[in-house]
Amino acid sequence: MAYQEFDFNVNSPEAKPANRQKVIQLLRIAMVVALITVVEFIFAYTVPKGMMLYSIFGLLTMLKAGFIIWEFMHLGYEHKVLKWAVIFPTVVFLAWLAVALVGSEGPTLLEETGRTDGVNVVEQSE
Amino acid sequence: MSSKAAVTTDSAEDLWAGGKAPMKASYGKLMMWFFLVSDAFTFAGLLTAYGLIRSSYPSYPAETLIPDIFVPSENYWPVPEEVFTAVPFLHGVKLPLVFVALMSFILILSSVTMVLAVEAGHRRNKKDVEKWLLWTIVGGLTFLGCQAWEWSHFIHGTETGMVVKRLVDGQWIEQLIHGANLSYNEYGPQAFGQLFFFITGFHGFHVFSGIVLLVIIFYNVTVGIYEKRGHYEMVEKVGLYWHFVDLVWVFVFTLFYLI
Repeated sequence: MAYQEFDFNVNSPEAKPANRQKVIQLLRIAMVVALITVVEFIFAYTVPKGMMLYSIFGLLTMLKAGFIIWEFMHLGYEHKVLKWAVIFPTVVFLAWLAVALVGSEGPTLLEETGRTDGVNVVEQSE
Repeated sequence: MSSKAAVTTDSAEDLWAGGKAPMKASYGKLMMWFFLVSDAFTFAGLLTAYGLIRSSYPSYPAETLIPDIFVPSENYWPVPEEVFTAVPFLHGVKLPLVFVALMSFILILSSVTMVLAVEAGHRRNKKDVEKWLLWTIVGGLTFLGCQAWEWSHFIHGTETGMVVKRLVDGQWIEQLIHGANLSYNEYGPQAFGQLFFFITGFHGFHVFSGIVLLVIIFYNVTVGIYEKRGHYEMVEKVGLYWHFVDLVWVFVFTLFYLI
């Protein structure tokens, strides 16, 4: 934080009005995030369940997350090293977990446990 | 280190004492980022655990998903549209996902007011910081209230409930169960209720601690601590945490309520 001169008019709103341009930009981003949520909501009602729908949801979620991190958390305007120190480990970790556990391990468990046909395993062994 | 050097770099805690701020960020902000990365790992672990267990259960066959004749079963992973259908004051009316969508909007809105508080802090406008911080606290409390209602409804369940088969004294008997707890739930497999309580509970706890932080900095702003310090960076740091909570909710929303 750079050294700041003492400002005698700190508490008078006329002295330092809100940065209109910045505020409008922030509100616009918030509107986009809210709109994406509305779109997701509509999709949940209208598009039949399946891989297609889940991929759309995944993409829209990433988009929302991107807006929040980049603009609200201001990461997009930080120093390059800080940006990558935050994003790189998180994305690598998440991608690995998603592929290894949700993509491969889960479906294997589904087969191995014999739940595939929707019959209770305990009941079946009885 | 000579005393002269200490005098010339008097501002902003000697910029990390080396005269240069690493990554052009203050110490506190950088540590907040690193904390958030570790917290993101925790949530990533929890949410992928959800994904793993969810993908190890079969989904309902499409022909059973007709709203009026749908019968919940323990053998399939629940469909969110059939679980989260209640809205306060509208008892008996099925409105799938309406209430959680409202909760999402409330959290997004509180994120917006937080951004505005940070912006007001940049121009050192104490009154504006106070105003937007208060709105953020209100938003956070509203969200927590909604979640409390949601949990209470989830625990008490619906009037129809679900019929399950249980092995009691060597005999298979049919039982009608209502609501949810850690050992059974009327919506689907046991794991569904457990994951729901654990993940939304962990997120709710984050919202709660966020509100505590907000109240503390609101007090500090009001008594003029940051004014004396010359900057409102603490508002920025707590803002980072608050946005992170919103960020996690985006993922929780998708996994629990959409997929």
